[in-house]
Amino acid sequence: MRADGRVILSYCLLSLLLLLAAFLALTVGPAKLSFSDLWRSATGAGSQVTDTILFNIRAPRMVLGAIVGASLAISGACLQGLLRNPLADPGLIGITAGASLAVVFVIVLGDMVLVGVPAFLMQAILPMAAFLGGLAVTLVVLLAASLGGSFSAGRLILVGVAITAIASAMIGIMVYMSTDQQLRELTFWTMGSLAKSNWNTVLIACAAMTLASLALLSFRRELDILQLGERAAFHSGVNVRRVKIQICALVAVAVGAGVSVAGPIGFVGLVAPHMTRLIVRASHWVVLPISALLGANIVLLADLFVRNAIPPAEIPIGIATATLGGPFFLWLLLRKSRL
Amino acid sequence: MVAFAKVPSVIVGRNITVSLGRRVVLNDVSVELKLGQVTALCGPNGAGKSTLLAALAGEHSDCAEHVRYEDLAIADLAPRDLAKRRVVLEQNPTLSADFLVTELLELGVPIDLAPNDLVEIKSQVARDLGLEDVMTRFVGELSGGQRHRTQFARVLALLGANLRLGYRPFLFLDEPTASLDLGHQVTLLKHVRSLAREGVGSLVVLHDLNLAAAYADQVVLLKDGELFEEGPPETVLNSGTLSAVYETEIMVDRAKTGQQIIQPVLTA
Repeated sequence: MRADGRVILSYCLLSLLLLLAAFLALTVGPAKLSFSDLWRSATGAGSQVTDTILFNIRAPRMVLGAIVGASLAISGACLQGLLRNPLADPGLIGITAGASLAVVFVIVLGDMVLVGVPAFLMQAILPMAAFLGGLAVTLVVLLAASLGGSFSAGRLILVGVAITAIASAMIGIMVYMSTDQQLRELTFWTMGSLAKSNWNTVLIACAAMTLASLALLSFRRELDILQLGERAAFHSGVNVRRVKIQICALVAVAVGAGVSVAGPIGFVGLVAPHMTRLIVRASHWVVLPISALLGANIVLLADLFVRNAIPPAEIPIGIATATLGGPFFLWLLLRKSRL
Repeated sequence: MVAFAKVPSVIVGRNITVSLGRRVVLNDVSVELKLGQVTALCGPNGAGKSTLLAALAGEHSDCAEHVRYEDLAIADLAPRDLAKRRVVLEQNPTLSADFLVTELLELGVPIDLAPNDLVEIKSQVARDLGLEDVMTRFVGELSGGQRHRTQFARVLALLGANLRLGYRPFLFLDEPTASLDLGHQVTLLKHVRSLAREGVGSLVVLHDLNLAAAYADQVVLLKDGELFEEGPPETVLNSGTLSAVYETEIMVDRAKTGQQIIQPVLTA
């Protein structure tokens, strides 16, 4: 079940597409670069301007896009598998909302509370807040879902929905209280963007996302067994409670780290795993890695689109993934139901 | 069948009490399961059959000290260790993803099993249960009864895998015959019987007392969460006991072949 022709073909095509998307991410933009520019810069013979654009602006953005996409897709696929609910998504169980809320809090109330904090520290505080916000909400959701002994997947989703609603309301209040300047900043944190990428901010977050995603990949066997239901998974030797807590915590790390540098980017965690299941079917042995490749592709291509659609302005990438991903998702579902 | 008194008990439940909320579902029940012995768990609806099976399978942490596998309490056994010592077919097995039957049979198989052994065990199980034709079909496309048989096959594959790895797992089946036709009911229990000849002990929840009479070595009768009676089917399954347990008049006859026939007296 681990390697039929379709699977191998999907790996090859998606890897090729990823290379192409990465190449386009590096070359296409307000300043167009050619393959030879790329080659010269890579061999150390490029002009200073090209080097700056390439290494300090586009490369970190590309790396961040690919890793955010991959980790969102893996997180979504793991939550869907864990909760046996095709609608599960990091956004659904409140992680994204918690991360966003924490950041919005810091932006709007920070001016009153954090007076005199130097600007470079503020730079570090926002990602930290997103990360902690995501983690805090995950803990609250896990705790609430396990009240009364049994830890049910259905309750996890319900609690997540409630937390998301509360967080959205509080974000709304913050938006209402914010100044014009703050409002612009808030757009980033409520709709997502890769525009703030630079190596300083990207490296730690990318390391966290990569490690969490790799750790999530190691749960493929357990996720497959969990499709039999939680009792049968326990009968088959899975420590269900521990696996649930570990997966939720890893998803919180991956998504929190992603939100901390790119804001909330919706739909990738939902669309990528679903498309993957339509192509290569159910087993998490292939669903997780192929979703990751697909997610990386989706975010890179969406970012390419928002950077070049109406230059020099930039559409928030969350809007692009939602406007492209929503209808596409609908189409996939309708197409599937006809089969 | 054989005298089992000499065979030591492997799974022992002593004074098992399980409460769900305030309701006591199982009150002070003790059971012993032996290798090579088929134990039928019978009783009216809500008697606590599934709860007892779950408790013996190690699902209830509140009786973790009362259930022992050989010399180990289930409190000291991790889920992985329990999985080597017993395999379980739930009453209503489910599958949320689109797996092929052949993929279903691999779910939960221990990772230390050699790939060749896995292939061999799967084809053996498919042959035994007549599932060869559906191995490459999706579980979701099969009929309810077929689906249930594929889940039984999955549990048998787990059993085979653990046997191959040198463990002596017990087979726990919760109403395995409920969605099967008469022919497949008999085939399934014959299979359990033949496993017993190879030394596999099993615990089977059965509603059909005729099947219990024909295939069990030991019958455990539950009523209202308490142990009503236990022993060999010839002694436990008599008209007086059954009529009391089911609160309706039940007659026990014997066919010319010697087979016990158990039926409620049907009055309008």
